[in-house]
Amino acid sequence: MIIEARDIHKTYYLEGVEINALNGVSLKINDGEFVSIMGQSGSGKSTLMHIIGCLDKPTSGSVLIDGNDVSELSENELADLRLQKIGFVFQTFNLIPRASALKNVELPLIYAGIKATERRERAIQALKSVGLGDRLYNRPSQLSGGQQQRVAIARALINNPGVILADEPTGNLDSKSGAEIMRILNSLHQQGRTVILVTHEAEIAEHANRLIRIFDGRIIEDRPVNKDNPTIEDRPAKKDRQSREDGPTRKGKRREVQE
Amino acid sequence: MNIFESFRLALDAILANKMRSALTMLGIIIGVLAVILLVSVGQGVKSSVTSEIRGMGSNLIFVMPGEVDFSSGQESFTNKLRIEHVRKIAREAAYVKNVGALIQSKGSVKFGSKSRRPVVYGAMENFTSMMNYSVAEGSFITETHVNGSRKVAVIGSTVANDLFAGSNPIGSRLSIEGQKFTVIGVMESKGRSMGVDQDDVVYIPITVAQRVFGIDWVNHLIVEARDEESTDLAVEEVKRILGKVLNKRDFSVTTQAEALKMMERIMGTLTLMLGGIAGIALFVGGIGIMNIMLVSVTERTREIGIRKAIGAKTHDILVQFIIEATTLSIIGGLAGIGFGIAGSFLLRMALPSEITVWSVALAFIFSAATGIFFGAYPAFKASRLSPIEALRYE
Repeated sequence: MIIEARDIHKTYYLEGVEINALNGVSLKINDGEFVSIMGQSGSGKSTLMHIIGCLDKPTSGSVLIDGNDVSELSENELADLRLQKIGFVFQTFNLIPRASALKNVELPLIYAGIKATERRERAIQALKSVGLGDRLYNRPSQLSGGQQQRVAIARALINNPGVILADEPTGNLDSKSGAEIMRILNSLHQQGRTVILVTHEAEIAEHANRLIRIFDGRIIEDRPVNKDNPTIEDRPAKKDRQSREDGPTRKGKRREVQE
Repeated sequence: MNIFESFRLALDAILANKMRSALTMLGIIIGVLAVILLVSVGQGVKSSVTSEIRGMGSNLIFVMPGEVDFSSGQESFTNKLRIEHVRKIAREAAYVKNVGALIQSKGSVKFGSKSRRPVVYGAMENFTSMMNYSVAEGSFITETHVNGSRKVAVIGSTVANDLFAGSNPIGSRLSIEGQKFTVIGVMESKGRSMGVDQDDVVYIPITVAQRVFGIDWVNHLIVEARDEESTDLAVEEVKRILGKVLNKRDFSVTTQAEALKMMERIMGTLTLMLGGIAGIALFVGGIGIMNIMLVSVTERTREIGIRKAIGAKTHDILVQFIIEATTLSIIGGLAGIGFGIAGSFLLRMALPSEITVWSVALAFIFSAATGIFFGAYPAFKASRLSPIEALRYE
């Protein structure tokens, strides 16, 4: 699936105050890419994700999915697009609390009008693929954070979408669970899926093959990630800007990665 | 998403908040219960009254004293109906088979140490045949009794059971308003009608009744037309004959059919009124559903956001919440129907009550419609939520 954004602007009005979340973002993500969109909170990265994920419409500019402009689509047409082509993974998992893991994963298939028996089979398969074959009937509250996020990934994958959009997927997890989630996302990419990862953490962003950095609603950097030598310190030209954006705490974390 | 799936989803949501769901349903249960009970009582009273009137025969004509005018108050007229009018009609009318008169008044009746106050009727010999009443034991008043002012009495079964307690009353002497009467018969039991015991009665010859109560008039004349077809002609005849001796305002003539029609109209209005009151209860129950659905939508804003992000369309959410409200009200409606039918059977001990298919069907359709109607706004609200804002909702 090819996603293309052309000169996206997004303006909010929050209690009468105009907020320009995006100021002319253009990008193109090709089929099978693993892309990180990185930026601090308020940079516009989440807004960008919502727009390319067809959850929200841009104020101006256009989003093309496989070459088709989606800016003019109705609510329901966008819903259908999300159902068929996009799988979301959220920071807060966003599972339905009353429903079992199985029911949660089945949900997109229900909306797609798949029959009950097939639905169940596919949902069980998806949960097995994320290592939760023995947790089918547990409710989200009976699962750990990492397990919940794996249920969410299974749900995102169930309709075989063209792209997985992960918004801070490790943000609410301990480092071990976070690593597990990143491993799953990596393997999805290796299976040929397009994965878009939104994060504010540099070491998470470095898992991708391409890193897009957003600041003040603009793309300020778009570069491939060198997997053999992923540390940012090796690129002194970028160093200043990095520390300015992410603040002092990020440096410490980066050092851990080096070790 | 298919309907079956929606119902399962709705049941899940309803079961997730059992107490709340039960209390919401209670509103509907009470509403439906009230509809069924009140309509069944209205219907029961109506059919018991009409069957009673119909049982007397449809060719009866009643002559009442004065004009039937409910607005002016009936107290002011002087009753000018006399026994001789009976004879006059009997002599002159061609379409009339039978004419009689009736006096009715409460009176004290004593036998030994026991006494009660039944309705004392002064009747003529043709009373039982005209009203389709029958005597269980002994015989009714005869022409000889009437003409000879004989102090004989025919008693209802309640009076018989109460005063004579199992022993045969026929031939016994009881006192009515202080005068001694010989019991010559016991009427067949007719049961209760609208809470009134139809067997707490005593019949005595009309001529004797006038003396006992010190009056010269009769309460009304009862005329039996030759057959149903000649009823209208008989009415005209009676009016013409009485018109010669009485002022037009001193009497009024109604037929059994008219009385029946009027009764049915009154009862129909009563049933409708009762149904309307019950309908208000159902309406209040519906508001309860709307209230709880609004709470539910607010509570589940995030869930709605999740569903939309995953790909639920506007109508998926709309249908989900409408079905949830409808399921809630249908379950309440079914429970209400169950309680209503049970309650109606219980009520039958005190009041005539009749469950009608239409009242049950109406109550069910109403409860389902209540769910759809009052669920529509909350569901609409839910379906319009923007996915991002709903997801951000804490």
